Amino acid sequence: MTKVTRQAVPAWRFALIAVLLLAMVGLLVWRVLFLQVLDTDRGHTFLQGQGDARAVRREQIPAHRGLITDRNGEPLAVSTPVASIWINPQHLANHPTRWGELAAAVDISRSRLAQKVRDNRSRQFVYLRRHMAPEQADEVLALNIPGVNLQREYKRFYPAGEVAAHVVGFTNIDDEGQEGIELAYNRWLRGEPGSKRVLKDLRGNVFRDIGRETPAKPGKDLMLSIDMRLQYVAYRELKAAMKRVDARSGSIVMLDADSGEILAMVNQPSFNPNNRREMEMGSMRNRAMTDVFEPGSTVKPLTVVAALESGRYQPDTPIDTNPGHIRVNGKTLLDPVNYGVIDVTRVLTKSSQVGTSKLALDLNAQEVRGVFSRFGLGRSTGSGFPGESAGILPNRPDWSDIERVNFAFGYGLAVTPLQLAQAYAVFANKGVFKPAQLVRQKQAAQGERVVPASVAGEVLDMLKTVTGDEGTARQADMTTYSAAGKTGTVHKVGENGYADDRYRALFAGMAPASDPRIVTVVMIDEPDLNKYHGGEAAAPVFSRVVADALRILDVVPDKTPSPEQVADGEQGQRSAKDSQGRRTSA
Amino acid sequence: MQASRTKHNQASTSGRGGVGATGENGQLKTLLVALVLLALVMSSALGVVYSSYKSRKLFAELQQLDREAIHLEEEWGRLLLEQSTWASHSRVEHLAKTKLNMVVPESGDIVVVEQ
Repeated sequence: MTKVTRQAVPAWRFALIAVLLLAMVGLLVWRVLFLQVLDTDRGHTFLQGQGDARAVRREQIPAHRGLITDRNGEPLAVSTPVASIWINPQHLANHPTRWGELAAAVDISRSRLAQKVRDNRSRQFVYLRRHMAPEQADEVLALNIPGVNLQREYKRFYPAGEVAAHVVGFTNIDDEGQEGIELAYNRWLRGEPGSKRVLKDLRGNVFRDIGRETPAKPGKDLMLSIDMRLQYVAYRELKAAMKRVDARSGSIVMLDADSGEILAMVNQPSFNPNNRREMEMGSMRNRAMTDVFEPGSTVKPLTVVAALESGRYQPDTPIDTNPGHIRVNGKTLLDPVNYGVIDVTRVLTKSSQVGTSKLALDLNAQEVRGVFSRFGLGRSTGSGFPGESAGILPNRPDWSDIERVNFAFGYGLAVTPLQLAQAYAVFANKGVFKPAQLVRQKQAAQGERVVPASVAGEVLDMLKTVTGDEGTARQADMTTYSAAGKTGTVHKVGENGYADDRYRALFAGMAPASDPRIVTVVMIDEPDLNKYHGGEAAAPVFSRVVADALRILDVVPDKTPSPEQVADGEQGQRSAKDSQGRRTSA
Repeated sequence: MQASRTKHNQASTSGRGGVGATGENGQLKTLLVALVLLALVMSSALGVVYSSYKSRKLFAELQQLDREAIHLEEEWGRLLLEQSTWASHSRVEHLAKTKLNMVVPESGDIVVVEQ
């Protein structure tokens, strides 16, 4: 029998193998640690990042834009969710068989789609169709065509349409304000978009939402001072008036006397903000705030304020306007009729150029200009409205006679309809100036006193006569409410100086005259030459608009007979009245 | 050779009695500990499964609610616009005049009653 001899293996060999194996294992462990656990240069975070870069994408969650409402909560601008379809041309290019399907679903021609893919083959993101209805977009996505994706967006709709278009403005396709309040308060309204992380596969399909990083912050709502009922009334009447007198454009501004809030601001021509495809540039301007004009006779009351403040004049101080014209620096200014000797009140009632000129020549030009400035002319209202004009109120070290006279009856300076309304509100507030507000105020502003109450009251009384039988604005008078105001008929400037046949018709007034609640300015640009005077073109619009407006605001009529008068005057006719169905007092 | 040496050790110590991890009772104890640990590991594994299932379920629910929120927002906007159209001032005025024969009262028709 052979003995199997086992030769002794040296211990060190065994140990060496063991050590080598352990070392290799250790190396592997170290490498794993290095790559996946520790935060080294090409370690854990780097590899994670690379992995994410290949699969994780951030998608934007759009923010809901704030609602714009009128002072009573009626919506003026509403955001509604829509969906936009976008394609990745690099992926879509590999599936030409499905282009026809896609084109049909999105409602474009196949050739256009092919064109788009060809033109953008180096890009990875191209909008195919924006602002589709979400159900339609979901249908497109359900076709499961590779390279087709959906992006949620918001679109603005304007329920008020053309009536409030100038004030509200509009947004562009990316939901950013472009004009009007949408632009002025864009940051307040827009909110902040959120983002979420998604996993995308090789073909760019989102196969998993891996969580929301930041939710979208919705925009904040905005309440305007506009009252849509009054806005509608003003718009309706302005539109009708434009047709009636064949005018080129027009504006109406209505302010709440007590708070300075703008209750209505309408312009013609207007546009439909919901469909801006065929819009003319000229229709977009909010002329009540952006367009300036020479105010003409509507600033005569301010000249009278200067006269009364000087102490040399009272409402009944006589002024000699004979012979009905006056020559200043070589220019002749005339009244339509020789009014003879009239008092200061009548200068306004009849809107006498001669009377005003004589006042102007007797007053300090700087003081007159000072009054105009105190009433807010030449200054912006501070509303922040894009394109708002501050008007032009020139200042000179020396005033020639003709300059002083022109200034006094409203030539040589420029104002917006809003500024004019703001100025007249001072009379409505018995001498307190309150800046115009476009956004609803929580409490009425204090304002600042710019004229003594007595002076303001005297001028208001004078303005009441303008709408009376003798005045130039008989047609501004209403059956239910009394009114006070001033007309203006202003020559427009043509190519060769002032045109003979182009005018602006103005009326600035307030009602009810006993305690004015609203101030309204009507401006009609280039009315028909048969009725171009302020009293003919603008004053009737005032009466229609304001009568409806005061009725809507539940203001008590100050011209209807009281029950006592009715009972006294019609004792014997009570049965007749009942049969006619009129309400009688208890 | 090393193996045999260990076995030899085991044999020798087991002969000494049940004290220590390597005795009869020791083996049971080890088994028990191992079983307990196994149970814990299994339960933690199940826990992972459960929590990831739960989280996916909740996430799906969240997405569903998100979709619903979009639908509701859409509907709200649509209803608001619909209401504005039906209640638009021009329409109401037109209906009041033509269908209801309403008119603005004249000055003579208004009687002011004061307390």
